[in-house]
Amino acid sequence: MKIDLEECVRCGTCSGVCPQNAIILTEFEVLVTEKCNDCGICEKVCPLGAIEVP
Amino acid sequence: MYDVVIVGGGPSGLVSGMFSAETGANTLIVDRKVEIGTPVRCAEGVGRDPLEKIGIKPKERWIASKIEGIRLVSPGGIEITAKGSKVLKGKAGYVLERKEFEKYLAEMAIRNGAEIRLRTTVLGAKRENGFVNLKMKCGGRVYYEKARIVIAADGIESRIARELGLPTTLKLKDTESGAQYEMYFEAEDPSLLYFYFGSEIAPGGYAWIFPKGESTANVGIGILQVLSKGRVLDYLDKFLELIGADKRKVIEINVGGIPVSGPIERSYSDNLLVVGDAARHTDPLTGGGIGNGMISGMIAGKIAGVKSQERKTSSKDLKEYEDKWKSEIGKTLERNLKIKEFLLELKDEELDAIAKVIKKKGIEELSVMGILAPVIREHPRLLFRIKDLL
Repeated sequence: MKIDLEECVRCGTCSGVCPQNAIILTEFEVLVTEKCNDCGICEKVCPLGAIEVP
Repeated sequence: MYDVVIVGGGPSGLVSGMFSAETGANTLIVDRKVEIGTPVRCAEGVGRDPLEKIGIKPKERWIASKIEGIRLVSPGGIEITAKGSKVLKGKAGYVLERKEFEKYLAEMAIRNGAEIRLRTTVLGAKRENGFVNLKMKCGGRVYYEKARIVIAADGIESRIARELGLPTTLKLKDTESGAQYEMYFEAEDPSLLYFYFGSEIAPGGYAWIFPKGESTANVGIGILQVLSKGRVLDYLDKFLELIGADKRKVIEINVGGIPVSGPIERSYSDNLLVVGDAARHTDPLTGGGIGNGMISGMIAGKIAGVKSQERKTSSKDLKEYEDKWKSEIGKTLERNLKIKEFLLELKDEELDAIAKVIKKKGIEELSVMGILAPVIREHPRLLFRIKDLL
């Protein structure tokens, strides 16, 4: 999955729905750990449409 | 080694810190942000009850406006307004200046002896010999900090509880996507909160206007992305058109998620308590999270403070937390979850029908029951499905 950091405001909604608990937000970054399996749930919930899953 | 480390410095975490430090426990609050209070991720409404419960007197510095009533607008445009002491019954609420409010809570926590560390993300958490080892990141530096008890107050993300084995993952159907503009807007009556319903306006949620004085308001919307046909910001812009608000007068944009699942199955385990939005204590009907978050934060802070110093940090020792928050807010959360699920099934025409009845009967009191009870009494068949829940 890819996050467009120019759109993202780091609200954390993606992290809350991630079944793998794979998304960690810091003040300036979004860290996606290797647990991510591109399930695409985060893409569906992002209020800004900033996430794309191939 | 800290007695208590609180992950997340929003209202729930800060109140946890206030009460934990008050017991004399060595207390640390960490937050990933660079400032307490920003960015705001909500409509800033709070009732008077929770403030009284945690013992905080309203201060001019963080009250944007006092609320004296509400207006509900049905999908078909039926307006129901309830205002004044007859419906308020002492239950007035406020629209906060949340940035100021949270800084005030932080000051109270610090005065009680808590430490605050900003710009600090907890990357991971592991239990070791009766305490929790937290992996922290501040800028480029990674280091470790130990806690006897961790209070997870990390909001919608709720990652810390999961790191320590409690499931908190939200389903899509339980996650409202929210967007809000703080903007120059002269509400018809700035002492009212405005709620707009309808599948076109806000599928699976509602839109709101929360005035912050004469000429500013939070204008926002929460929708279920699974029911919607587009992005939440597009819905918000459409709502602005409906109420005649001008997008060129926006002074702040807020975006975020709102958990409406109802509370997590289990909010405590060894060395861990979960509070506020992280525990999904958000009211599933209204989406309001500050009040319940502060109440669960107060309960968790007191218990964590005392138990950590007594070295009683096992799951069994901490169960008291769950019993106590359930007796404070559990019943209302359970009832409002059922009402939300019921309302979600209704078509716009059915909501209009209910609105007509409420308008005719009048709102008795500014509460969920005060709004629905007269309808249920007069038209048991209309609402027979929720009658059993109440």
